[in-house]
Amino acid sequence: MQLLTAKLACLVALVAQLDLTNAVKHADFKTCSQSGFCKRGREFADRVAAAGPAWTPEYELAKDTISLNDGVLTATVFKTVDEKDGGKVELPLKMSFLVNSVARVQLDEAKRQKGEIELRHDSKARKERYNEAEKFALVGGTNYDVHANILNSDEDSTKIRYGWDGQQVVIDYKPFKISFIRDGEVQAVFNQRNFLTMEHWRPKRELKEGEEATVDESTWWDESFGGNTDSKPRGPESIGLDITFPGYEHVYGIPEHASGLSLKETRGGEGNYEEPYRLYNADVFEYITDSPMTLYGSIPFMQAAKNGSTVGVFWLNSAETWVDVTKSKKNPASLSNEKQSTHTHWMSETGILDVFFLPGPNAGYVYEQYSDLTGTTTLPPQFSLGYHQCRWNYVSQDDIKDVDRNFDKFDMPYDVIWLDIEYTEDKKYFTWDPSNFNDPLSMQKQLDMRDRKLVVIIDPHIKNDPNYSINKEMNSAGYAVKDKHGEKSFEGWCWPGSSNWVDGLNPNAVTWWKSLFDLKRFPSCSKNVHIWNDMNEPSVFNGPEITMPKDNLHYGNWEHRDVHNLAGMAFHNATYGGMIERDGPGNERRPFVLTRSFFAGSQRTAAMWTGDNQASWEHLAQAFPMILSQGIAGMPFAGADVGGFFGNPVPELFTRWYQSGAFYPFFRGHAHIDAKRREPYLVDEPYRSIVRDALRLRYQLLPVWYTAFQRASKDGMPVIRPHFVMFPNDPEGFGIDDQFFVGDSGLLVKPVVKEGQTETEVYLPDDEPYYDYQDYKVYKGKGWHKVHAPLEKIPLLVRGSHMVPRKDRHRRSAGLMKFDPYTLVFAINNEGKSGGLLYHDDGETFSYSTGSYIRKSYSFDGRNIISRDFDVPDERIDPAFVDSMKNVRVEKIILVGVPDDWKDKKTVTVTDKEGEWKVDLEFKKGEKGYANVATVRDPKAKVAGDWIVEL
Amino acid sequence: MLAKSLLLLATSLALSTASLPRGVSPEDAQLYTQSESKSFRCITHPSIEIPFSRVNDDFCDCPDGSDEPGTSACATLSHKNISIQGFYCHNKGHTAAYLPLGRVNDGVCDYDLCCDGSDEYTGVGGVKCPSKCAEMGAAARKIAAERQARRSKGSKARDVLLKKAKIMRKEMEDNISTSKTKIQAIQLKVAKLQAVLKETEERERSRVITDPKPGSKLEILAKTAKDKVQELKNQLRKLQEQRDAAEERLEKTEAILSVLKTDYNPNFNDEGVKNALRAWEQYQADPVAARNTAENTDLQTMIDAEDIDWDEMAKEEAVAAFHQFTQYLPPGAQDWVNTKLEEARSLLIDNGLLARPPVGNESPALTAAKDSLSAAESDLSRERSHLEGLERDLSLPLGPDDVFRPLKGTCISKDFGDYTYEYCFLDKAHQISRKDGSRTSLGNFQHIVTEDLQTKNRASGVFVSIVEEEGHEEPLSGVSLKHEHGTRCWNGPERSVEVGLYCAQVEELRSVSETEKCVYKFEVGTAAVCDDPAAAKGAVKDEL
Repeated sequence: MQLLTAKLACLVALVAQLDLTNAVKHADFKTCSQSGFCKRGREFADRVAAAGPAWTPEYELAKDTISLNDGVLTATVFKTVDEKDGGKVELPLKMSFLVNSVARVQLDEAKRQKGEIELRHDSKARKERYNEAEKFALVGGTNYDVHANILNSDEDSTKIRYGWDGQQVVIDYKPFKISFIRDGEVQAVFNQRNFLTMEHWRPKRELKEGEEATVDESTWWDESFGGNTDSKPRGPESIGLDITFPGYEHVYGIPEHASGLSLKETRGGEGNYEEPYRLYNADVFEYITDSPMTLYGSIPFMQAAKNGSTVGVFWLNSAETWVDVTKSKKNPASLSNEKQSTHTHWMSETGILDVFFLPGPNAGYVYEQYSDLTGTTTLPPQFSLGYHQCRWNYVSQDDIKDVDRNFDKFDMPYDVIWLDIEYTEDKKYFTWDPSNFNDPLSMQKQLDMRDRKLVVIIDPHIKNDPNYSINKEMNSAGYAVKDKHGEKSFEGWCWPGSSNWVDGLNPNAVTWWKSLFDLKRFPSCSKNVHIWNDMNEPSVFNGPEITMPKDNLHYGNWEHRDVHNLAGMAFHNATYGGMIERDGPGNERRPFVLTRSFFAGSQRTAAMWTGDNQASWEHLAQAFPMILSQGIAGMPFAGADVGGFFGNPVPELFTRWYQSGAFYPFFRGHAHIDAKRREPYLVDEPYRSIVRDALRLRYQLLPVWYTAFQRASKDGMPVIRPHFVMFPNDPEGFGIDDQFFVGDSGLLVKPVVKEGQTETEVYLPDDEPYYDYQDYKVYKGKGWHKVHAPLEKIPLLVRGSHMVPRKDRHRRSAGLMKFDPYTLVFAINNEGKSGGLLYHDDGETFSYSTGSYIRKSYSFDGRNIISRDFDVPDERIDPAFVDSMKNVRVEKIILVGVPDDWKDKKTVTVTDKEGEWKVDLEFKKGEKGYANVATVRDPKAKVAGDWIVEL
Repeated sequence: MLAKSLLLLATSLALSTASLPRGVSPEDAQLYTQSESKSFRCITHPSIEIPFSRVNDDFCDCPDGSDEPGTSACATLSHKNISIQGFYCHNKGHTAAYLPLGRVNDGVCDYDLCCDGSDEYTGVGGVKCPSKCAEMGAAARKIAAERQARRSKGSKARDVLLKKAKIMRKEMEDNISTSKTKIQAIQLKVAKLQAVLKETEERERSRVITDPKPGSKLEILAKTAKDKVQELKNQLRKLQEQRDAAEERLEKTEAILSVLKTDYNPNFNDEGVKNALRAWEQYQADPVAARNTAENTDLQTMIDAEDIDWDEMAKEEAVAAFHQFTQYLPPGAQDWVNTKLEEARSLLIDNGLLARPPVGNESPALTAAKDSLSAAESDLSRERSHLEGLERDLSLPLGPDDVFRPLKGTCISKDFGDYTYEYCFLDKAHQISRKDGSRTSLGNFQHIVTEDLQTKNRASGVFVSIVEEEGHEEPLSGVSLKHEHGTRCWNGPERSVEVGLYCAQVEELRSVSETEKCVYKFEVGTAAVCDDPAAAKGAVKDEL
């Protein structure tokens, strides 16, 4: 048994170079003023703003270049520059009007596009502005609306109508400006404030003797940070644009930041940030809360919400990006109806300018529009919605078996146990440490006995060791990312020491990478093994900002700077592909892949978590806003490390964290290698029983989670939803990010995230009755309500109008609940009605795509409960699953909030195509303040069948 | 006739078993007998009465789960509310057991508790669980027999440990009383020497010293006497050592014979062994003349006694007349005269009228008196700390009847991967690199912890009856030894080891794990935690 100490030796040596004693090291990461283009961008914006109306606009659209054909408008925008630079720079504009009412604006630079530039340092890098982000981010939604037409065109502007709801776009020529109109109101304006920037190509000129520099070129040609110098062979090339949302008080999105759901202002002032929100995927050690600092992943998608309207903007750029947010203040003296507006300023280091406007009109439409473009979340395998137990590190296969047995012994359900980096031999992925994991199959087999899974970590850094066959194959085939000269594989440091990085942008490398997961190739790997992709920002311990040098070259000679933010996604996409194919055609199973780094589109193949958080109340409270942000940015399969990665949570924090975690779409406990053991059964009573209750609650509500995920996989609706999504006409709820709804179930939850709390305030957005999930206490009336919340209680309400499907029988894993009966809880609304959906399929294959699923609507209209199919195909191609469910029944129906006159009802009639029968009904009068509850005892109704219960 | 009634009994038993609802154990049978009214009352909520047809109808009616002993319907309830032990598996051919309700009809053959496969009677998802009780029962009985044999051997080894512990305790107690006596003797001696010193100092002030002439009769006499005494002392010391060694050997031999007596196989008819054992029993029965500690102390005192100051003896003294004179005065007057004399003497010296007494050139007698006193004093403090040590050792909590005491200092080791792990009982644990031999301390012994895991788990609603699918290993006893303050880890805590003990005849290190950084767990076998065979027998049965 070789122990951790020895195996950590190399890690220790490496980490010793880093200072582990402090929290986040700000010095490791750039501020805006340390990032050349951000500094230039902000200074430019300040200059323009200071000049006011005196500012001479630099960008002008040439009217006679406009042409609109089949939904695509083309034109040329000219940028005025110094005479010595040619006076004018030609910027081709392409504006696309799409059938889903989305409009796309693309602006490029003719000279670079045509390659009429010279690169410095004999660089092999491509000359064009990067224009391939769409290859990775988009999957569709780009069909042109051929009916788009010019409404009118005059000397100053052109007005176009397009889309299914009469959306309009007004293009002003000088200054160049685009306004998006819906319902007769301007919803968003591009370049209203003239911050549009496209840094044109120019050769580097050496100053003649005695010549004074007229502009500050210090950040144009080379940039150094933390001892690394970026050679910048293409010179300055950043882009920028201001986007204004008139009358919109809130903007959301652009994850990942440890910040609130509603974005804060970023140009200083009380309660505001000083720095812009930054998007530059990075391995940030011990990140802090309430900060616009960059984190592991980025999705450049933003939504704006005002009373009754939501619109979105998608900034398709994978280079380093910064976003400033400011809000204009209402003038209290003004008599006009002027509303607060939100102004944003987007700056990216390279690439073409490529922005989508998503017109809404509400959040649901925005998500559908965004999903049309980037895809929806993959429908997760059922097990992955259960509880995951992770730790850096379970030290041996015996350790894993032991933990597995202990969960059963302590009667706690779980589905997945995880192996962090130490399971490998010297951090060589696709190997097993021969002393501690000499029989990995025995461990996988034991897990499989209870239908449980193992997740192992596979990272993109490949140990640079000539005896490691995978490294040899990768380097000899040229599948690794190259250094700036483009000849040799880039070499840097990560867990294994010297490493090379597989290039996810290279299609051949992807094919090769996928082959490594083949069950015949991956040693000792069975079908219940799934994958965790970590460190894919990529994390490079000795690189600038702990990542790759920007002048590294990827496949196609694109610079790393162009593709940085999507490189992590390209990698986990490849992993997912390999996992689908690993057992050969016809045996595809839904893989589970967890990634730390992500980009727009990552939702199609992976789940994410919020990285290395800390065992503190601040981090517990920070998790929900982050997870909600992920959800509204199209990536709902998200979670935070339960218990906090760094440090040791006290029992109260630990317990509250499990209560929160039970409502994370991705629910995983994880701990750092230096942390004390904290498998949930190790905590003492009463905490242990409370933690067990939280786990059981998660499993009881699995039908709710699965149904919500199914919807997310269809139309992009988030799994956990903030108030602004659910109640778009209630601006009072727009700032709330510590309570939320789960899917369409009507469950409103506000887990306690503060120390010592025994009571909390829950905001009700409307006048429907809200029932306590456990004891049916009634809360009613729009506004804030006190809810009792001692340690053992999660404030959890069900909104009248909704049906909550449950599986109440306590099993050891999700897989073992497959054939269990359902309980349906109808929370009755002011009109005496309730209803909801249930989705179910085999939970592991793709047969749902050929109709092998159950989707029922159960509704209560005050008299009858009616079960019927909802949006299912008439003819099922593959009825196997539905057949397998024929004996699964609804064992109990609970109606909450029934009227007093039900007290005499004793029996009810159930009718289906087989016949009719009577079953018992039990009425329980609620005490004062509590709802009346009626329970239908074992209606013996098939979950998949159509039936009526007459009450 | 007898055969017939037995048959009848068997039939009636079979009948009553058959009519019991599924999942109910024979001992709970009376709770599930159908009354005249064909109704069932929930066991802990007798006010709730349901038709008997609703027992095991796969719907949970009773808030204590008692109406569904044979289905998973009441697995919806939380532990604290369930009043029945679970689903009863008859496990014919093996030992009956209860399965938690949530494991009934979940598609998994839970053979660890339900070797008869009766828990999956609905065949959910197509699962089939044929009975494995015959083979599992046989295997379990074999393992149980082996375990019991192992434990009974372990238990015997424990008896030996206990005997040794008793002897050690006795010895320590003896040592303590010896030490106490010694301290008294030294204290007396110190007092005596203090008096001598005082007297010498006084005499010193007022005498004229003449060294003996070399070769004088007195000098020769003193020298001869001195040599003779020394020689006698050396002889005595040698004898004492020989006696101690012989006694030690005797103890060892007695211990060997004790082991022989408990471990020999009486079925092995060896006359030689039997004779030897009879003789041993007789020998044991003889009254043992316990060593007379007082005598021994005297002996020691004789050896340690300070030498007579032979040099001093050889000196001739001429005491000043003044001092002779003062001896006739009453004590108070003596002091006054002496003081005055001293003052006068000082005055004369200060004024150069009298020579100063030689500085740093004390007379040998005074030096010797001082040396003797300080030697005696340091003996005293040495002996006192020795006593403290002994008392501390004796009061250490070393398990019931000091069972761990004989193990103290016993070291075992085993190789795991790149390291050898070494454990010295109640002392130190080390990790030794097999590459470079470097030793890392994993901690020093702190205390013994005894945890009753079964009671603790039962109290919090945890299943205690899980039988490990694999491991036929001896389970941990719940007694563990804590070791702390090992070498500090880089950027981490000091290393520590918890040594979990299980019953084994011979001390052994079974496994080492580091489940969190720098926190080690050893599993160590020792006879010290082997229960007496009767209790061990019961435990084996429980686990099956």
